[in-house]
This record gives sequence, C-alpha cells and structure tokens, in this order.
Amino acid sequence: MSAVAVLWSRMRKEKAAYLFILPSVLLFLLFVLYPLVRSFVLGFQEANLVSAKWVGLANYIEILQDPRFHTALINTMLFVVFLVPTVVFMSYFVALRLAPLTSRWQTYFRAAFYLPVVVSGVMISMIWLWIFNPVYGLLNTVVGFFGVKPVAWMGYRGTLYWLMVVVFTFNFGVPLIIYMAAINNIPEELYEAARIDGAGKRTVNWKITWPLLKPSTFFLFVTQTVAVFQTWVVIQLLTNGGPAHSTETIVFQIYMDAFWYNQYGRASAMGMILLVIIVFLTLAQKLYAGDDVSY
Amino acid sequence: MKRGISILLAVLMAVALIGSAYAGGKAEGAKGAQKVKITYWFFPIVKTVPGMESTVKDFGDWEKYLAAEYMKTNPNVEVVSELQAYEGGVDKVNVAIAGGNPPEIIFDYLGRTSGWYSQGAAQPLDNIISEKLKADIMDSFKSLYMVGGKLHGVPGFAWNIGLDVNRGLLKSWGYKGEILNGPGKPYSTAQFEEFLANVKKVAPTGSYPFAIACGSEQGDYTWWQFFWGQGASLFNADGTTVSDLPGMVEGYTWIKSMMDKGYFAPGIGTMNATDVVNMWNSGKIAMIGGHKGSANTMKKAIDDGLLKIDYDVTIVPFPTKDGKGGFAAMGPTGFIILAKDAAKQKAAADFIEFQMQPKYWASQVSAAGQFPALKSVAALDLYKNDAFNSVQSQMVASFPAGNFALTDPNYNKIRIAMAAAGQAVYSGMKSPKDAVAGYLAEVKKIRGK
Repeated sequence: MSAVAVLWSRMRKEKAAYLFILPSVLLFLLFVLYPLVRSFVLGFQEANLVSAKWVGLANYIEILQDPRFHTALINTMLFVVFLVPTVVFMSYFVALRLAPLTSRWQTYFRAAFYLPVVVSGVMISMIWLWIFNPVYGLLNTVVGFFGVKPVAWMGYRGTLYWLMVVVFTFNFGVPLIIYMAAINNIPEELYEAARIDGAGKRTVNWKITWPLLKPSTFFLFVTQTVAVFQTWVVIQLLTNGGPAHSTETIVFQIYMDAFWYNQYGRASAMGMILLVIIVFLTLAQKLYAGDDVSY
Repeated sequence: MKRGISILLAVLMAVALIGSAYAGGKAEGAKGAQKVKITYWFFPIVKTVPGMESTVKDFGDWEKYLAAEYMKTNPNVEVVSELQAYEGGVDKVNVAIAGGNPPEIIFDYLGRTSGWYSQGAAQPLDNIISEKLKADIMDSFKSLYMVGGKLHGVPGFAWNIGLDVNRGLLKSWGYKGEILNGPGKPYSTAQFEEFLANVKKVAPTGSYPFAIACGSEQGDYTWWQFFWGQGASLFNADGTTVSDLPGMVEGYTWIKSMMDKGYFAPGIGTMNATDVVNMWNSGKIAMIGGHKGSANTMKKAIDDGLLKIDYDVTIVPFPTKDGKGGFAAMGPTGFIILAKDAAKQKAAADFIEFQMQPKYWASQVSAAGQFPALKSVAALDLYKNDAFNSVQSQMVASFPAGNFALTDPNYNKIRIAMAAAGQAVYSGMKSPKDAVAGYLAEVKKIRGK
C-alpha cells in the first residue's frame, strides 16, 4: 500500500482528529508554507514593488559575490559562534547555582532573568541606546568619573561585540528557565547514590546532571542558533547596521533589501541562503548530539 | 454520539474560520460598490490648526475634517483618511503596494514618492489633475516633481533647513557675543569656526555648540548643507551624475575636525536624528540643523518645564567658504495618486484639489510651519507676523534650492551609501578620501544595475 493510501485510510479512520487540526494546518499552509514557496520562486526573479522578471541564479550569484554579504555572513557566524555556546553554558551554570535555592528565591531569579524576554525588544534596545549614548549615556558618565573622554560605543570596529552583550540579555532568560525546570526534574536518588559512591560536586555535575540534560541542551542549541541567526531589532535600533555596514547581519540585509531597496528577489534569495545555513547547522548539531536525544 | 459531536465541532470551527474571513471581504466589497471609495494615507505633520482647536486635537484630525468636508459636497465619494506612523509606515506602504492593495492617495516626502513612482506604483498626473491646479504650482516645485519628463506628484509644501540657534541657552551659558552676522544673514566658514570656539569656551561640561547625526541616512540634508558650503556640487542639474568629489572630501574632513575639536558633539557616526533632537530639547546643544518645527519643540520643552531658560530661537543659514551664502535645502512633501481605476483617479484628483484650495491649504501649510508650493497660497504671505518664519522666508528667497537628487530612482540607496561613507570617516575606519572613493564606487554600482 502506498504512503498516500496509508495516510488517506488513517484520515478516514480518525476524521475528527484531522478535522480538529485542519484550521492549524490551513493557517500553516497559508502563512508559512505558501510564503516559503513564494520566497523560493522570488529568489529567481528580479522583483520590485509592482513587477517581476525571471533572472535564474543571478540573485544568488550577485549575493555570493557581494563583499557586504560576506561581512554580514561573517557577523552572523560570529554571533552564533560566540553567543550560542555562551548563552547555553552560562544559563547552565547559573541554573546549577539557583537550583538548590528555596522556591521563593528561585521564583525571584527566574522572574529577574526572564524579564528581558517578556519586555518588548524595542523597549530594551531603547534603554541600551541610552546607556551607550556618547553624549548623555550612562556608560560614558561612569567612565567619565575615571577621566575617560566620551566614547562612541556604537561607532567603532568593536561595536559588534557590544551588540552581542545586548543580545545576550535578551536570550538568557529562556535557557535558564528550561535548565532550572530540567534540573529540578532529575530524581534526587541519583544524586544520593552518587554521593554515597563518593562523588564530589563537580563529578556529580558533569557525570549526572549534564548528561541527563542532553535533550534540553540539544533543544537549546537548536532554538538559540535559530534565534541568534534572526537577530535584527537590536541591530536596527542600536546601530542601523553601522558604522559603515560593519554590524550588518544577514537578516538585517534581508530587511534592507526588501523594505528599503524594494529588491524582493534579492531579499528572498538571501532568505533561502539563510534557510540552507540554518538547516545545515541544525542537522550538524543533531548529528553531534547523537541518537540518544529524545523528547 | 461523542464522535459525531466531535466531527460536527471540527467542521464548524473550520467553516467559521474560512467564513469569517470571506464575510469581511464581501461586506467591504458590497459597501464599496455603492460609492467610489478612496483611501488616503498621510504621515503626522499637522497636529493643531489655529482657530480649529475644538476639532483638530491631534495628528490625523485635520485630514479627517477635510475628508468629511469633501464628502458633504461629494456624497458619491467615500474618503477614508488614515494616519500612518513614521515608524514602520513606509514599510506598510511598500507591503500594500507589493500586495496589490495600496491606498489611492499618499501624501509624503518627495524622496519616497518619486521612488514609488519610478517603480510603476503611482500614476503620471499630467492628464489627471486639472490645468488650474497645474498652473498654480510654483515652477521651482514643478521641476522638482518631474520624473522622466512627467509630473509624478502634486507638491504641497516644503521645509527649508537652516541652523536654529537657541539664544536663550547661549545667554544662560554666559555667551555675550554676536550670533554670526545676525538672523538670516550669510557668513563664512572661518566666522563659524570662531563662533563655535567662543561658544565651546562657555559651554558646560557635556554640552556642545552643535550636533549632527550620521547614524542613519535620516537627516542627510544637514550634511549636504555643509558639503555645499565647502564647494561640493554632487549632482548635475539632472540629478543623475556624481560630479565634484573633492568638495565632498573637504566636507567630511571639515566636519570631522569640528568633532575632534569638541565643537560638534562626539559620536556623529552613530547618532541619529532623534538623539540630536533630544540634545536640543534638553539644552545639551545650542544649535541644530532645523526649521520652525525644531523651534516649536524647544518652546514646548520650556513650557513643559524641561528647560528653565528664556525662549529665544532664531535661524541663520549654513556657512559657506566665501561667506556669500550657498544653496537652500528644500524638502518637499506632496500627493501621489496610486489608483489604477479611472473613476478612483478622478475622485482622488478631485479630493486633492479640494484640499489645496487656499482656505484649507493656507491652514495646513502654516500649521506644518513649512513653505507653500502653490502660488495662490504663497501670495497670502502666511508668515508676515512670525519673526522666525519671516527670517526663514527671506532665506528661502535669497538662496537657490540645492539639488540633492530626491527624484533619482536610486535616491534611497545613494543616501544610505553616503551615510556609510560618513560613518567610516567619523569612526576613524577610513580617511575621507578613501571613504569618498568607496562611496563613488558604490554609487556607480547602484546606477550600473
């Protein structure tokens, strides 16, 4: 029996279940799958606001030869390489420190670290904008006490690394919550047994807690990678891609190409390149994590 | 039984979802079939209109009032006027055009309307608007609105950028000297430097004589003024050819030297227009590249108790090497018609013409604090009783309008390339010469496509 026939037979058998998921499936088809396919097609076209013509691979060739795209690609990869492990490991270590606390303190820290996730990205970026402002910013006021002249924090080659600090504050809350929940779910008997066998704190962490958190860690690596790849608000509001395009990322360039330059074909092609990179990295992570990851 | 109810519920949910979406669209269509419906999108410019305080209380009220007045005499037309936010509004227009559902009329800045027209989203107006209205448009504005030999929009008014000087703040700092050659009078770059040095001497720590923003392309008209002052003429009359680049190198070099000396606030390469306005409103800078609007925000800051100084703002032109005065930066805002249907085009043109009658347009122009594009409104001498705008009117009359390529189809890309060149200079990543060479290469690439 073919796969379609099997599916059809299952659908007839479980009509109610399939009808219940139908609205979600329709919305998915309309707002996710259709735009994805449309974007794939647009990537082969030179399209502006009102017209489109077929250009084959020209958009892809142009993008891959464009030095600005190279900068954006490097910046995006730097974000992923530095930020994802930092966020995941830092949240793991902080969760380890918070897990033994009383539930009241845990609630307090959970709320404190999760707050930036709940508050609008625009709001937080505006606060950072004020902190980094070269004339009336908090950071320059502080360094001014030590006789340092005003610094344009968002205006030199190292600006990208300051942006990473800001993105870190956005992304830290979710992994922390997930790790705390996962750590609290590890049966106490395992720790007791390890302690009876003479295992120290460090050994318990690396031999029991860390391996048991592997599914959470894999999940966090994948979701953080996708989230960091899509960093946009912070760059848009804090540097607008500057100075001199030096902090642009791929998603920022997609936004500029689409909504500033009205080059929808080029923007779509860049979106497809990003999709391929993310899928490739996710598969690589899955490969590295092995088959013993389950949900 | 349970199974039957489940199936029924699921079917109802799916039908309700699809049905509600369809019903919304159909209701809209049925209503539209009775009249000619036109949608008018505009941005926040007019907040209050003298004498109309009870009707016009916030942005968008004035345009709604005009639409209501128009519909009284044109019951066969329904005008839906919709205020768009500056933040995200342009994206919304682009999405609406790309989605095939744009408004029939947009009132916006020439730098954007010409781009929409060049892409084929707006209609040439030569045969849509009346001969009477065409004849009423000042020639200088008409030429700015010609794209490819056709009139792409109806200019409404324009801002003119000068240097607003807060004399009240200077006095509170203890500055007792003259303000250059006086309000509205041209002066040289050397005089300007001397003035900045003297103001810097009395400015409190953390305050500066002036600030300029290059963190984005917004506010580029201020850089142009300095470039022109240094002798740069970046575009030929047709607005399509990059010409005098040494002047641009000199302009960047000079601005950077002003920042390095502490005359201009630091961080030019990262600051945006809002940062500069915030500094102006909080008394951190004594001058701003602006117009009556900047003077008004200062007045409001004082009225709100944010600044405790006397309100005393005037305006001077930007400096030039020879001190004889250069170009005026004019930023026009106007109407474009995007409707494809002939009946909607006619209704749109009629509504635009209705709004531009002197009795309404004079109020709109003066409420916006800008300069009219129509001869009939200019003849009313709107600013004869306003000291600030009287000075600025003289400046507009004295200096020719400079060309900063607003109707170039690649205007958006070029100005972003220019901002990037400035950022490279001000952040020390490139020398002015290298940055300008990079800018030129980028412009050639943009135009070559």
